[in-house]
Amino acid sequence: MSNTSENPKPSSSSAKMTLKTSDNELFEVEEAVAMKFCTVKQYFEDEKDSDVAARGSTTVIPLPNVHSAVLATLISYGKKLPQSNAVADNHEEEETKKKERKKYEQGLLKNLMPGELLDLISAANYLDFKEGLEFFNQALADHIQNKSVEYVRKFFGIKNDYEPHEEEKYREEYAWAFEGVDED
Amino acid sequence: MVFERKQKRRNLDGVDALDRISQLPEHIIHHILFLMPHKDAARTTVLSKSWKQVWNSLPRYDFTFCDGTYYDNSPAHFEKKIEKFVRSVNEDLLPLREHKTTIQIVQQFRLRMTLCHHKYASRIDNWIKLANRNLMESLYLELTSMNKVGRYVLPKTTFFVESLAELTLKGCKVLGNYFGDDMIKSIYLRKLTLERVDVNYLTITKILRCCPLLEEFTQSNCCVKAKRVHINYAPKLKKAKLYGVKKIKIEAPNLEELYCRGDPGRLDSDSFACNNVKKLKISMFETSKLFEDLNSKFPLLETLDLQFYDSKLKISSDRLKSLSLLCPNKQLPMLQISFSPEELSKDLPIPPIATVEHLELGNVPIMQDYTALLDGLLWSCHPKVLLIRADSESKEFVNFLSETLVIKEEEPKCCGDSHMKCWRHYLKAVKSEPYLDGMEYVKVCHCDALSDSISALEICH
Repeated sequence: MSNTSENPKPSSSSAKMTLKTSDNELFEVEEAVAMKFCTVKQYFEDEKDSDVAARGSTTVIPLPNVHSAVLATLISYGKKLPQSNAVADNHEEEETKKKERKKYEQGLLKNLMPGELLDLISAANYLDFKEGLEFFNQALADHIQNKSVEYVRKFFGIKNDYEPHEEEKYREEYAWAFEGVDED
Repeated sequence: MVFERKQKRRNLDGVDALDRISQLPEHIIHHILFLMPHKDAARTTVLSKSWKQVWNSLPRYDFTFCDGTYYDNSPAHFEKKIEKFVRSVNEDLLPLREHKTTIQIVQQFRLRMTLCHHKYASRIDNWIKLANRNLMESLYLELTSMNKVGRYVLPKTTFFVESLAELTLKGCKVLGNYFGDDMIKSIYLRKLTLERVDVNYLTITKILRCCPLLEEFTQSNCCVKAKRVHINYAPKLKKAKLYGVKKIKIEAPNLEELYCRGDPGRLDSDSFACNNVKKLKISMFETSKLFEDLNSKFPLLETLDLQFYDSKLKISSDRLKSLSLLCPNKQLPMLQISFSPEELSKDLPIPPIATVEHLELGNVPIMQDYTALLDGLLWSCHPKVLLIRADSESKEFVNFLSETLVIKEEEPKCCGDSHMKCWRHYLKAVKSEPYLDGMEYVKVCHCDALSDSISALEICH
């Protein structure tokens, strides 16, 4: 999806914007999708105020905190979301779209490494991409659920800086949370 | 992928060696915790110190609502007050209702209210359900029902709220049907208090069977169906208060403090299977032979506060530090307290006379001669403090004490050459002092002949 600075074909009715990542890759994105990234939206609106002519492909919005691979995923996810300006579908179409989205989401999460997930969360936070943040936070929450403390520590590389008696104290204090959980 | 090259070394599980999750902004971690069940979220406190900090920074609430009303003769006016109260509670609970992106912890939810109409029961249900959803840790309900309004029935889910550690119910009703015989679901309470609650004693037994963490249990003046207490599972129970009951059967191997007040009631040797009890208080119970051998029932007992009716009381204990006795029965002929396992005998070597820190006597009946009583008492033990409750009858006893417990001579000659010296030989000093409560206290000092340590006996009045 990434292009270099070519002129876009004037076929689509929606305007496009160019986003530049930390590793200097350029992404051309439909405005409707890009507007879901509130940080981008804000930048765009600020730009608009200052220069009316600067619109569409001539604006390159820099995203120094986001890597290209991460942005690619976020854009792809953003596209799959129901568009705010889309024509209302009938019930059947809506159901199909929903199923497609579910399938896409599952595929997305299946091979995701913890580091990648954290990158996505950080980026979604930076971009103020609410739906993306909700989705990836939930993915992380789902992953931690029902896992033992040791597993979570190992999986995320969290260093246990408790003294044994301290840890014991907190395990006792929250005994209700530890009942029935498999400690591996 | 370009991406991979930028990452640091990974181990076989694909774990990023850098702990980046802990470095996420706090509001993001709060959101993630919000998206998982409370149990899983609470466990993160143990991951590392920074995760505990994140948990500690979650918003917390303490709610105390008291309707502060007293019934006045105008029901309309009263109901108006209650309506106003309900509105203000709803307002205060607004932050809990609003959808947020973070867990909120209700540390305490306390409600004292008079129900003047049954419609308020569902309001209370809603408030409790709202608190339940928000990780409630302590719940206190004191609900009085007026006139024909039925008692408030606690919603069944309340007991099973995982985070709930303390529950106090006063004047409510608990149904038994949500604790089935095949109940395996756990209740995580640490402290449970039931006061004037309408509940069946079997339900209480069932509830306690589900509580592996319970440390304190109080049952006080509950309804007729709960005059019996039957506790057969209480592995961590440390403190129990059973007031207004007629019959007790309790099995609690780790119990340390036990307070019982009968309605009145009757205890027997079956009543207690609690070997670790250190503090025991019993009143309004017929105790029959229970206290004849204290050692075997309560080998670790240190404090005993007993009101007894039997004609003979024999206590045998070598650990007892504090003893308080009350005999409401005025016909008491003989009081026999022995602190040593063997009876005193001239042929035996001097048994160690136990030093009791605190000895309290109440309702000492009027006797012709208190000598035997005093001898018996002071042969058995050397109390440091002898406390006598002042009433019109015990005044005689106190007068007797002040005359008798007087050191007449340095070396009393009463016991001759016997190697068993009576208490007079140990008496070093007596001080009689007025005590604040209007009770008689006389200070007596004893000295252990075998060592130089002087222990002072204070009898305060």
